[in-house]
Amino acid sequence: MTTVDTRVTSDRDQITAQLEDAVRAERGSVWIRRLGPYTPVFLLVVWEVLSRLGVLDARFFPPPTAIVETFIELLVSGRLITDALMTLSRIAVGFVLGAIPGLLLGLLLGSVRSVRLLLEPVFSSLLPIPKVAIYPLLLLIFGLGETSKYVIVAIGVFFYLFFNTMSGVMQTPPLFDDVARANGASRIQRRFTVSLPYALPSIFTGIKLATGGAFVIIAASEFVGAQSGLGYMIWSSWSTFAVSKMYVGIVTISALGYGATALEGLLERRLVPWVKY
Amino acid sequence: MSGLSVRNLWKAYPSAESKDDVLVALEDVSLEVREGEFVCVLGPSGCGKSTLLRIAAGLEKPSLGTVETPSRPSVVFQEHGVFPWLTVAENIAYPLRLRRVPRAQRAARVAELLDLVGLTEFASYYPAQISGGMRQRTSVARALADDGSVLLMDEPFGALDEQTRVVLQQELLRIWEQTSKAVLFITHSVDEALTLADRVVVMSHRPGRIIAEVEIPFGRPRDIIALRRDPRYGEITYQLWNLLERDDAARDDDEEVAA
Repeated sequence: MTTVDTRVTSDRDQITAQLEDAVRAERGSVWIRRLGPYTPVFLLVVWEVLSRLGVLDARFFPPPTAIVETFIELLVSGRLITDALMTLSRIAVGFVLGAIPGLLLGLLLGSVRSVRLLLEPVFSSLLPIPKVAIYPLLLLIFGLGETSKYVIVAIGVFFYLFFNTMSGVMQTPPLFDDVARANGASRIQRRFTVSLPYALPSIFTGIKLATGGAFVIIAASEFVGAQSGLGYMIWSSWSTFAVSKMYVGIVTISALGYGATALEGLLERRLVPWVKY
Repeated sequence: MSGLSVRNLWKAYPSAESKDDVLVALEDVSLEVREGEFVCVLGPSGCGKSTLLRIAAGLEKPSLGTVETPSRPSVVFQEHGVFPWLTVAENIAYPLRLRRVPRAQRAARVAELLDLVGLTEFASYYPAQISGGMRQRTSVARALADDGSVLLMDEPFGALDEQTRVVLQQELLRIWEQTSKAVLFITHSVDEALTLADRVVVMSHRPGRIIAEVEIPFGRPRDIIALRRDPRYGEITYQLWNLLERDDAARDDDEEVAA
């Protein structure tokens, strides 16, 4: 009996080892997976070398180390932080101003057919207008101050939130609405206990897209209509041919955008916990 | 009156084929579910039995006739009726939250119901994390939260596997036998109807009419497994299938005449 047991166990060990090999083979090479995160670093090194060797024109593509130098300079002088905060505050205020009406109107039009039929064409026809194209008009109306920046960001953000909320609400399975009605929920209660939670994943998609959009819009607006902010920093570097500074502006904007989206991802996992299952 | 009373109920929809025509879904349906009585409505798919329930639940209006209940009935829907964005406990608390029942009172009632349907351990799980059987237990618990006198059930166990279904049927009877609720239970399963009901109402193909009412002689409390070796079980099964088949045959004749 004992010998049989031993044979079985050793067979099992052998099979387990074979299974592990098979699973590993399916996951692909360890080497490539470990290397993945370092590819951008490798590309930066290539850039540095090519720029120093003169293969790349250093006037347009200054070596990354030179950009880092400028970055530190701007950071120490406080200029970078001031500009970044300026841009961020414009985005934050504009975002809230655009997101709240976008969400509420999306909820309304998504759930009330008659209002949707009446008003949707208005928003659909306004959607394709490039938001930056109305900036001169906003400058005329609101002047060169902060208000015009808030408004242009708000307009951009509004459309993302509005259309994503509306389509999320419209996809709500009728059964959920029936459940709420059978439990005696009023119209308003149904909007906030059924339509809104059902649309939340779609709303978060809207929030993330809106964030990207807001950075594009604010950068373009600061090019022409501002004396501060990261967009202004990039634009003014162009006119003084300070190419390194331009890169600092670009990298900072993209880092801030990435950070904002990551933060929203965290928020989403907290507020939409059921989606991961 | 503390049960459910349906009198001369008709329901018609606009026909898809012609603007002037209507499609009759329910034809002169009258039925009564007394306090403490369990009535199953048995019929083929498309016979309007779900429409009957929706009208009784107040989700649709009758075209003609009346439905009377002492209070708003509670409803257990087919599968997928629990909200995926709420946990088991939050789903059960939903009707209480709508009525702004104070938090402490709500928590106590939910704990009681979780215990009743055996889901205490799963209180903070989301529907996607639990089995289909557990989801329907959640649905039943939510319908009991209000403690109304009428309970409507729309094929609640239809999507479950057979073993889970039998377990839930037995549990439903155990819970219901402790109350005096009037239950209207919609099903297309002969077996389920005679297992659960005091009385089975058999409906015809569209337009849905009541073609028979069959009293089920089994007593309470019921052991639904032991039931199956009762000689009357086979007898009633045969009787109900006969009613359904005779209606089916009549319909085939109609169609031949029409063609």
